[in-house]
Order: sequence, then C-alpha cells, then structure tokens
Amino acid sequence: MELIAEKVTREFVRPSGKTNRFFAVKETDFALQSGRLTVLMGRSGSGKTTLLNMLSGLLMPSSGRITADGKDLYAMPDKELSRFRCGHFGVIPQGQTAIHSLTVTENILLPFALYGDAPDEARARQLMERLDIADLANARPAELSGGELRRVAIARALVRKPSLIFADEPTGDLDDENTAEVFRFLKECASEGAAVLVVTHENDAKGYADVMLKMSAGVLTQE
Amino acid sequence: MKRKAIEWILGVLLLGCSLCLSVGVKLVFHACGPMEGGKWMTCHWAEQAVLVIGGVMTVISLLVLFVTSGGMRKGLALALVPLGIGAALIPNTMIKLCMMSDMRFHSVMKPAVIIFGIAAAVLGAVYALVGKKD
Amino acid sequence: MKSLAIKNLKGRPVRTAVLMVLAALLSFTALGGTLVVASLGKGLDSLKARLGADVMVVPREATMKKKFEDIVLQGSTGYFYMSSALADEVIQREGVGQVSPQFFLASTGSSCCSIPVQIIGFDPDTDFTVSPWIKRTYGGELGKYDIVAGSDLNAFVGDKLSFYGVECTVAAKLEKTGTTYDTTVFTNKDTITALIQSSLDKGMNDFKDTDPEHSVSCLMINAADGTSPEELVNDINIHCKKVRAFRSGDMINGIAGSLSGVSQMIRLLIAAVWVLGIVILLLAFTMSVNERKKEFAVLRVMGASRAKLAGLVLKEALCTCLGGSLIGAVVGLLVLLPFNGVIEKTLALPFLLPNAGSITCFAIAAVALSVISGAAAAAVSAWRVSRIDTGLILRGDN
Repeated sequence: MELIAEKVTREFVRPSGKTNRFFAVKETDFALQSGRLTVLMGRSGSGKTTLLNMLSGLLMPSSGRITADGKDLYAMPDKELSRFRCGHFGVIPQGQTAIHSLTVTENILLPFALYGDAPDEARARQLMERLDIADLANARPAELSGGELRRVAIARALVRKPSLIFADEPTGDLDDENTAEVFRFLKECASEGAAVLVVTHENDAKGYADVMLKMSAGVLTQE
Repeated sequence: MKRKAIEWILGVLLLGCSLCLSVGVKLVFHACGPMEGGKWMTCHWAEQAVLVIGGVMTVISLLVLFVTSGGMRKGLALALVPLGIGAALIPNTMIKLCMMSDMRFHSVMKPAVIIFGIAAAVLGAVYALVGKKD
Repeated sequence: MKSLAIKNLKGRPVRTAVLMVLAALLSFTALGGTLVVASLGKGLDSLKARLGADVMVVPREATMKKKFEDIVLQGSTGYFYMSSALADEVIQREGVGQVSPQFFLASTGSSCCSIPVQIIGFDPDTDFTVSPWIKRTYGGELGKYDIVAGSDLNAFVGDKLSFYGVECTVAAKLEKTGTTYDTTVFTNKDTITALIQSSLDKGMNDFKDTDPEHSVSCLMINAADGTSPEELVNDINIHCKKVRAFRSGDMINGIAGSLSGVSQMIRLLIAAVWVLGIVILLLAFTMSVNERKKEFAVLRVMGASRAKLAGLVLKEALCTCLGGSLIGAVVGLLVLLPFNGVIEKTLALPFLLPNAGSITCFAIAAVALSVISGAAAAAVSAWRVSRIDTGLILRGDN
C-alpha cells in the first residue's frame, strides 16, 4: 500500500491569542512506499509528530490531501476511516500506552477486539516471543517496566500485519540491545512489504533506513 | 487469589447474618418486653431460641473465616444452611406467637429473623458450592 | 468492546463499587419513596371506604378524651356505651336515612399476652359499613360465637379464641385494609352481647351499670335524601346533648392533611437525593474519563471510531447503573415489604401496600429511571471523549 501526501499543511492557533497562528507543518508533498523503511528525524517541536499524526489518519490537515492506495483518508466519514485504519495501519504511539485493565495478551489482541474480528493468537504469540515478552502474557501493565510496555505497544501495532506502520519514538525506554532488535524487526516488516515510517531521535536508525528525512521548523527535507 | 477474595466476602456476609440473628435479635430486632408482674410473653421465648441458634451460627461463621482446611470450611458453611432455615422457622411457625399483642414481634422481629435466616442459608449454600476444597 | 467495558469496570473495583452504590441509592430511594406515598394514598382510600357512613354518633364522653378517634384512627382499644333509648332519640331525628348500631368491647389478654384486642359487634340486619368488607372474604352468615379476624391478627380460620371466658371460633379473616380494621375482631350483635355480659359478670367491664341488651356504642348513619351530613350533624348535636355527632369526612380531612404533608416531604426527599445523586454520578463519570484520557487516545490510535469511544463510556455507565439499581431495588423490596408494619406504625397513618403487579411496575420504573439517569450523566463524558485530540493527549506525557 502506498501513502501519498499532497501539499499538506497543518496550522494551529494558540488559544491565548487568536491572531497567534503558526504552521506546525508547512506545505509538504510526501510518499510512503511499501517495502521501505523511512526514518524521519528532527528536533523537538519541528513538526515530526504532527506530520505522523496526519499521515496515520489521526489529524486532519489544514490543507492538502492524503491518500492511501488512492483513497482520500479525510474524505471518509470517521467510522469508515477508523475501520480502515484498524485494518491497514499499525501505529506505535509515544509514551506508555497500555490499557491497564487488560493483560499483556489482551492488550496485544485489542485491535481484533475493537471490531469483533477473530483474534490471531498465533501471531500474537509469535510477536511476544520475538520481542521477548512471552513470559509476561498474563501480566498486567502495572507489573511491567517501561521497556516491556514499549514492546507490548510494538506487538499490538503489528499484530494485524498492517501494510502501513507508523512508529513515534518506538525505542524510548529501551536499552541498546532492544533498540537494535526493534529496528531490525521494523526493517523486516518493511522487507515483507509494509511501508514503515519511524520518527526517532536515535542516530542508530540511520543504519536501517531506506529513506532518510529531516524535519525542521515544519519543513520536510530529504537527506 | 480471586477465589480467596470471594470466600472472604461470603464468610464476612455469613458472619454478618449470624450476628444479626444473635446480637441483633437482642439489641435491634427484639420482641416485646415483660408483662406487668414480670411474666414473659411467648415472643420472648422465640427471641431466646433465635439468640441461641444465632450464637451457634456466629461461632460456625467465625470458623468458616479462620479454619485453614478448605474442605472443612465448605462443610461448616453447609451446616449453616439448615441452621439458617431453622432460625427462619422459629417465629410463628415453630413457636406460635400472641394474637397481635404488640405489633413489634410481627412487624420487626419476624421479618428480620426470616430475612437473615434465609440469607445465611443461601450464603452458606453458595459458599459450599464455590469454596475451594484445597 | 463489550468485554472491554466489563474489564474496565473490574479493573477499578472500588470506583465501580462506589458508582453501583450510588445507582443503588437512587433506585432504592425512588422505589421506597414511591411505594410509601402510594401506600399512604391507598390507605386513605381504604379508610374512606371503611368509615362508610356520612355521620357517626357516639356518647359524649367518648369524644372528650378523643377516645373514639383513637380507636378508629390510632388502633387503641376502648369501649363506651349509650342506652338504646338515647340511640332511638337520635334515630328519630329528621334527616336520618340508613342507620346501623355498632358495639365496642376490648378484650383482656390471654395468659400469654397482655395487650387487649378491639372487638366490634355489628347488626347484620342493618349494617352497611363492616359487612361489605367481610363479604369479600366470607360470604356466609356469622353464627353465635363466630368471629372475623383482622388481617394483622395472629389468628386463622378454625382457631379458637377466648374472650372473658367465652370461646369463639374464627370463621374468616379479613383482607388487609391498612387501617385499624386490621387489628380488630368483628362479630355479630348476639355474640358481642354475650361477651359484654360475660365481662360484666366477671367484674371486668368499666361500665358496671350497662345493660348489654339495651346498649350501643356507636351509630353509623347515612343522611337521608335532601339532607346534607352537615345539617344532620348540627341537628343531632343541638338536640341530643348526651351524644356527639360528627362527619366522617371531617375525620378523614385531618388524616388527609397529615398524609399530604408526609407525602410531600417524601417527594422532596426523593428529589433531593436524586439531584445530588445525579450530580455525583456526573462528576464521577467525568473524573473517570479524565483519568483515562490516554487510554481512550490509544484506542483511537488503534482504530476505534469516535462513536465507539463514546459507546464504551456509555456501556460502562449502563453496566454500573443497571447492576447498582437492581441491587437497590432488591434491597428496597427486602426492606419495605417485610417491614411495612414498622413503617405503618411509625407513620401512624393509614397504610396499605399496593398489589404485587403495581409493586413490580414501581420496581421496574425505579430501575429504569436510575439507569436512564446514569446514562444521561455519562452522556456528557461520552460526548467529550468522542472529541478528544489524540495527538495532544499522547504528546502530553512526553
């Protein structure tokens, strides 16, 4: 699946002053191709996460359009877009993002439960083993370390074998060994045909990237 | 862990019902006082009977809470079933009461004893069913 | 998503329990208050029907210490008599239509019980107040020494009861009326005459000079056509000084006034509890959603639509409120139905529980109202959660 952004911008208005408008993302054209790992780097506040949120269908652009295999994401009603995202997108958000009332396994299988789809438990087990959290299958998030929670989030994002993967700082809270493992894993997903976008500060990511991008003050450039 | 919590909750509820029958029947749901001349009406003797059965049930409920053997706890809980039913049958079925002397026995003690007696019987049966053997 | 709602509730057991208790309180209050108000209304209707006659006439001394009113309305026991000659004087007044005498006596206790029971005798040939009630459960003729027991008396058909050494048989038991009828024994004129005579023979009757064959306690009178009850009452009170006449309506008005006051207070209490309860539910649901904003954002990221998020919040609210309000309704029924005697005695007003069908309807309505209120309280939070800015929330922690 190919994701194309055409002339997308995102403008915000600071609530404290109505005329205090700023562009978090300036006019950008962008294509995320399947089979490639794209790494996007940039300082804090450069607009990387805003761009990722727009591309992953979570934030409507102020102008421009974003299509996935020709489908205009933001022309779809919310229900349809959400279903589409659940089936085709895997998003690894920033921070600790587990549901506390569910076990690790239930968290990972949640993308199936959202729409009552039959859970792929074999895939979940495979991911847990790969990410070294198989022993924690029945543990609750409160019992896990930051790194373990991160790996749960990764497994959850990948459990439906999405064609588009968006990872926002996927290796925060991970040690060097696990960081490398996660990038290797994402690279594998790309080689299996997924289009992968990773937003990160890690310089090690450059070694895994097929495409390197940089964001600075809302402007996207290719390295 | 979950089963243990359920057993504890049931055990505490059983103790509560038993205390309502033993202590409650004297302090809260009591029957009429003595007549002029110090003689007691039949409802007083019914109250005494409930007190005794309630006392026995209280002791058994405490054992249910603190005995370590799961099988023994289930057996003790089961014993509360006939005791609870027995307590519920005392007012007006086993011990016939006065014809409307004071409404208190009919309006307060009888319904309270029946409710707590049946509740204890039901809780005892539930405990015997769901309690862990060992 | 269904089970996610349940799992979320189980994951925070204390908060879930508190919300369920709130919902239980709402349904308990609604059911309890409604049942009490309905029972008071039914009791008043029952009393109106029971009093039956337009005008009641009793010996003057029976009203001096409110004796008659206490017997009729408070369930105390007592007796008083006037001579048949005096009764005839009243009956002959112009404007008197239907008339029937009643005879009062109070038993002493038997050896096991000390408190007396009110006994009322009526004349089967002329009675029009007591007989309709009796006919609802007993269609036969009352023989000598046959009695009919009020519903709250611990006496059943076939039981033998002794009054002043005279053994009587319970021929029937009355339906509950919610009035002092429920603790009264009724019998015919022949039987009560025998009982009064026996009490005199034993020296246990306060009215030692009474001739039971020629005494009555009370005259129940319907005004003749063309005469109003007020006119009749005034006429009797002016011309028959040894008796006192009054309208049953006046007696009822007093009760109706108290009843209305009590009902009003109960309604206010219900309203206060409900307003407070709904406000607390609103706050609780809002807090619950606020503290889980991140989890909702994560669900959104995974592909949950805005409607699904709102639906999740509403499902949690519905489960909590349904569970809680069912518990509240059950507790309400367990308190009100077995202990309705205590409530009746405490209120000291006519009190008659509605039938099983009405009670069921009240219970269902209380549960439904509590669930709807909880859902409405949660709807605000549900709407807010559907509007969350996912990016902003997820960024918030970093």
